[in-house]
Amino acid sequence: MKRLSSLLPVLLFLCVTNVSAQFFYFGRNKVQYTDFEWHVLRTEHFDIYYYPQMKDLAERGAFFAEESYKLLEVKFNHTLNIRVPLIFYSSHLHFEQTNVTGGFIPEGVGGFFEFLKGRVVIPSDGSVAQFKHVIRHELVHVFMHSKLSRVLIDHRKPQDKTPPLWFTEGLAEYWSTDWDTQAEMVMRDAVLNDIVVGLSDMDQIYGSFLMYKEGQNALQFLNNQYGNEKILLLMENFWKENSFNDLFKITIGKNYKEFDEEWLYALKKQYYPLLGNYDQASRVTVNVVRGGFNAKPVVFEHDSTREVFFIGNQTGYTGIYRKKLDETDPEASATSVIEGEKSDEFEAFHPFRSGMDISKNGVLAFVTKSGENDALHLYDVAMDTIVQTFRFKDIVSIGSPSWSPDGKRLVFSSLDMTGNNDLYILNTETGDLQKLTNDYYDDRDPSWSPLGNTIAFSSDRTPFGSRGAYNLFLYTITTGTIDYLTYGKETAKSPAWSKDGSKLAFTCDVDGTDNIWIMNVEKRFPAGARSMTKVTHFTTSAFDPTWTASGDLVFAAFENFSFQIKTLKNINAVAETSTTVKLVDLSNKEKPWEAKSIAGMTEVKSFRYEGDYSLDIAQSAISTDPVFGTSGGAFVALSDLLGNDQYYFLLYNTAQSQDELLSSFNVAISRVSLGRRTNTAYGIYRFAGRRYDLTDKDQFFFERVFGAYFALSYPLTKFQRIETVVSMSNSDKEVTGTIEDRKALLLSNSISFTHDNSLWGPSGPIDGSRFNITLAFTSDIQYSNVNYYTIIADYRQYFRLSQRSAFASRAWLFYNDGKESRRFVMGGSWDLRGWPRWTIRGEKLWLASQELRFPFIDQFAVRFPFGGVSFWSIRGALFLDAGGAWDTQYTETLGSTGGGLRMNLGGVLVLRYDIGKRIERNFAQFQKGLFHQFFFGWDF
Amino acid sequence: MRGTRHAAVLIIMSLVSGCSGLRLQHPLKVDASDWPTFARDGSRSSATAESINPPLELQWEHDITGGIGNGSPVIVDSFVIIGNLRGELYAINMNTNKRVGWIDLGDAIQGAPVVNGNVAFVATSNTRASLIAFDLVDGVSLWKREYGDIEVSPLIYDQHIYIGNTTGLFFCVERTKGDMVWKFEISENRKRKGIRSSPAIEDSTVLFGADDGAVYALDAKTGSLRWKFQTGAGIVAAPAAANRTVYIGNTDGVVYAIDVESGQQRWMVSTGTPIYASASLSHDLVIVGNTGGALNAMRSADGTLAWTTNLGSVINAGGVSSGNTFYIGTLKKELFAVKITDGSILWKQEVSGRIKTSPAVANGKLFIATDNRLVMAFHRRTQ
Repeated sequence: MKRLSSLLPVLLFLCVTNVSAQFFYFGRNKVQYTDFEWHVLRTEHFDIYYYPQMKDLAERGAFFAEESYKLLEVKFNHTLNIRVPLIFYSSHLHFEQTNVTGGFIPEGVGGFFEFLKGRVVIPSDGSVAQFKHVIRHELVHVFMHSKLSRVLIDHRKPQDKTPPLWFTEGLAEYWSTDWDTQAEMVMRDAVLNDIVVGLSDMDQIYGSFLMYKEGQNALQFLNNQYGNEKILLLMENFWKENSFNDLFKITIGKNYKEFDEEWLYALKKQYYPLLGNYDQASRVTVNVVRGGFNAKPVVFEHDSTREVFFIGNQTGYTGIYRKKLDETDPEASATSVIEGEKSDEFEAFHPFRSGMDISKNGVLAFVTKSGENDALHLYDVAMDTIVQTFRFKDIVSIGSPSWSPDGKRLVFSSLDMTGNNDLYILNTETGDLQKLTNDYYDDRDPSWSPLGNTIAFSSDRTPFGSRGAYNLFLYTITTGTIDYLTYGKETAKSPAWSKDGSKLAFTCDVDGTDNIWIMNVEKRFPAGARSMTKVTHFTTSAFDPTWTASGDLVFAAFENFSFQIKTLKNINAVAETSTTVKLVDLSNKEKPWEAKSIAGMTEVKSFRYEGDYSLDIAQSAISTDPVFGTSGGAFVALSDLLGNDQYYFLLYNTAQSQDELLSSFNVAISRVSLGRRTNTAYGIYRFAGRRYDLTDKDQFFFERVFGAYFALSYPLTKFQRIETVVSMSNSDKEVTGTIEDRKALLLSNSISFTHDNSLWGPSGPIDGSRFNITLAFTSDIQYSNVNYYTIIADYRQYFRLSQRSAFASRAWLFYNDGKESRRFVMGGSWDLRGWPRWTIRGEKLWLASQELRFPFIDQFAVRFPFGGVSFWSIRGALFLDAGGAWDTQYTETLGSTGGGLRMNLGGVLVLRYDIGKRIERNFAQFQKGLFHQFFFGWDF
Repeated sequence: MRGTRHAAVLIIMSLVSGCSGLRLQHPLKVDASDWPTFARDGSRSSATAESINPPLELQWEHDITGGIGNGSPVIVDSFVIIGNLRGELYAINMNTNKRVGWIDLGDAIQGAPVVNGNVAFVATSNTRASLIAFDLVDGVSLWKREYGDIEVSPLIYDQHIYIGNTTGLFFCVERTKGDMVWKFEISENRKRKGIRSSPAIEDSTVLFGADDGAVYALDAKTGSLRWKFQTGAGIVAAPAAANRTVYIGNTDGVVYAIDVESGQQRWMVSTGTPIYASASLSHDLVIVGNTGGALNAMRSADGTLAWTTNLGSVINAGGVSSGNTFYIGTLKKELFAVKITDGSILWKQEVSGRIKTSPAVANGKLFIATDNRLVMAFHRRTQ
């Protein structure tokens, strides 16, 4: 469908902005909930953007950035010519509001480097080690980008090539962090389950966490086996070859394939022996839930039934699911309890960060993002309803609530605007909030003892914390004292009390990956030492243990690149037979780490940010059209450093002769403001030139139009928004070949409401719904030549049939009525399939589509003697369309039915092929023959 | 009228395409005040008795339209000769800053040329014609030979050219025709260990380091291995030799002093960060900078530290000793003059590009190249 109206220039302008969510027809909204007051901290090499509440964090980040700079200039043998803008946020929720990128930022993204303006955007999640890691990771990108550009410029080579993603991300990891527990877990799993791929096949895991870690591992192997000069040489030789495979060959003497043979063999040699002493989790545990991502289990026992509640994404939406613990079939589907990512209330879960807890009387406490901040929800399992929701003014994100034994209070960790993660107790009856810790240490995973007097938690408040180690602590509620439970360079986290309050189960990575250990908290050894016993010996990792009344452990385990819920029976008996016991010596504890900050260490300046504009794109173009001739022009876009304010300038000329030169200038200036919750756009324009009116066949006209517009978009939530546009334009239109000359001063007003919570598969939406209603009125306020109103209603509903199949429905009504009202057009692969594109025209139009979407071919690979090519996620569809268009009197209902294939190319383009029968004469008969349509575009 | 139009077109075309050609006006007179090769001489001392005292001021700068590798400008007669990473060899009149000419030699010139008589011997990264003898006066290539991808500055000694390439091969080449005299190969080089350390000569022994972390000493006449000294990390820096001792740093940041005759270590000093810069030998000191920005002066006799000065950024290339002053640049775009006796900073000048190459001192001027394609000439500031 394409609608041509006087609103078109305005809409075209809005479309060229990168605020797609706000101004495209559908799409979710990136809501600017928080009004940040930006300041700038200038250090020797960086301009650090922060808001006053997080000043201390910004100064610590500045220290890490300068420290990383010193390290990276040595590693890269390179310095940066420009000051690097570092934009810090004190939480991931704030980070998600950034306008530096137009897209949505998923939960797992820890920061990013935007290379056009060289901006680095990084949130804190409370962990100083992670903050430092991400800063260094992103600065590796900055240095690499600068170094490779320099190498290409030095040799006067085009700067249009980049290294493969596995190299850029692998190096960013390799030079920013140690080979840690997560990396070890992922690689063990990949090698032992035979899903590891070599460099030659990295496209199979493109962009995944596995690709990051394989890249890191490959470069580590390269460095160790071929010498520490090779990585730098790969960059310095970058100008020599166009293919990275060839670059490998000239630098290390081996191409990808030859390198893979060595590297993958070394991985097997390293990891296969693990099976002698370790087990794959599924071999020695009872599987409860398999498939998809599943984490943070809690068990509710009632009426001799044991049910496990967990966070999972089995339907595609991350939410809470329940399943009987003693269900013998791990493939049996779990029941969805709370569906996230679909409503304002449960906008997003934090499956990596926040656990859940369930009280004795069956009230599940869990956390979701809900608008600006996180909300704490209480869900009554028996009543199947949310009984209470808490939102706190000064708390941004919340983690892992844990019930007091009486079920009246909750302890949880929370991140406020400062970026510090501390422990709080909430009285759920009164709403009173009490802060237990108040410092820059990262306190997580609190677990309230069943005895009521203590809270176990995990924290980096140790001498090893600044390097990422977390130990377990015991907070005594009556005294406020904090005592060590574990002490060492390893990380212990997710403590969970046994029902009698005597033991803690927790995960610890002391032997390389996270496994579950048990500690008898009541038992002390000489000099106050404690003892911990390992109860799982998995090759990969186990997380988030929770006890049942009978002493079983339920937990999540990582295997086959997925997280699965498992049970280990009678854990006390397992502990008694375990020979892996570690004595925790608590006699010689050193002081916790102290934060290093740039403040006072070097000359820094801080001032309030007032907009720093620079060029985004400047492009000139000349186009030649067989009908409209040659036109040329330029487009320039500017935006400020935070991406909040954007300016667009367009200038082109459509003159076909020298006489027309002055009269054929097209100029437009537009400003878009995204910094606040209400997004605005306004501008002025003048367009002139020959045009072809699609709505009236073969009609050419010359039109001069100048005017101004103002647009406003207010996101009610992430899923709904209201938009309004007002424009006034002077239009002078001469129809070619006639003496017709229409002048008009057009005033257009429109208002629309849009809803979109759809979930997308490879070729289009497969769940949720989308809805838009637009009312508009266009009139000629000077000559009364034009006077019509517009109603647009577009509703789409997606019914999920299985994990990857859905039934989709669409209904349209487009209605223009009045003097010189424009025609809508229809026909083609995007709407009424089978009919020639845009051949069905009318001032009024309706359409109904039904479509069954299903997976057809998951991978289609062709291997030639010189290489191979693979096509992924080819989807099938069966459809039935019906619709009609008319001006004053309804004429005929047309339709089509058939099937088709859709293929996603690289996530940016979907190719579609349809075959079927056209239906005509008010759906009374099929046309002869089959139609074939090949086009591009996402499913509706 | 028509002829005028054609002439104009030709002029415009020649301006647009650029006229390549390099031909000096007269036979070269090379004397002791010149700087005809990387690090000034075959021993790579990077030292001259000619004293230019700071403060200096910029006399001229010249754009050579391509990036500049790890060599340095060479100075002969009244000309600055320098190659760029585009493969172009330039000659600039050092007094007038006029471009005398340039010639495209094919591919990146990483190191400095060496000038002998009227001939510049230039190594390139081109695998087809990587060693070229170019007659600067006649403006013609005398010969071109294929010796692999070369990223070092050639050494000339006793009518022979010595050169190593990135696949680990080292060649002795006859000067007049370019024929190979002998070849040495890093043994069991399955990991493609290359030679990126420019060779030096001391006591008829050719010395160079390699990516495999070894310092090699070869008989200059026969190419036979006299000794091999294994360090703990790859070597990119060129060796510097004096008094039968060779000094060299590696990418672990360790500086070694090795007896040229026996191959035995005299001393070693760890400086902390990788060393890419060659040492300068002057005042019985070994002066070498590292990527951590530390400029260290060690006593050549025993390696004890005479002084250390932090220059604040990566030192990628060696400096030069000029009388009592040591000149060196950093990637922070700063050129320093340091007092050789105590390491104090006498003068500092910010320049417009990163300094990745060594300076050269000759005829009362200091020449330095920066990575924004400029060659600069400094002279003593007139009061």
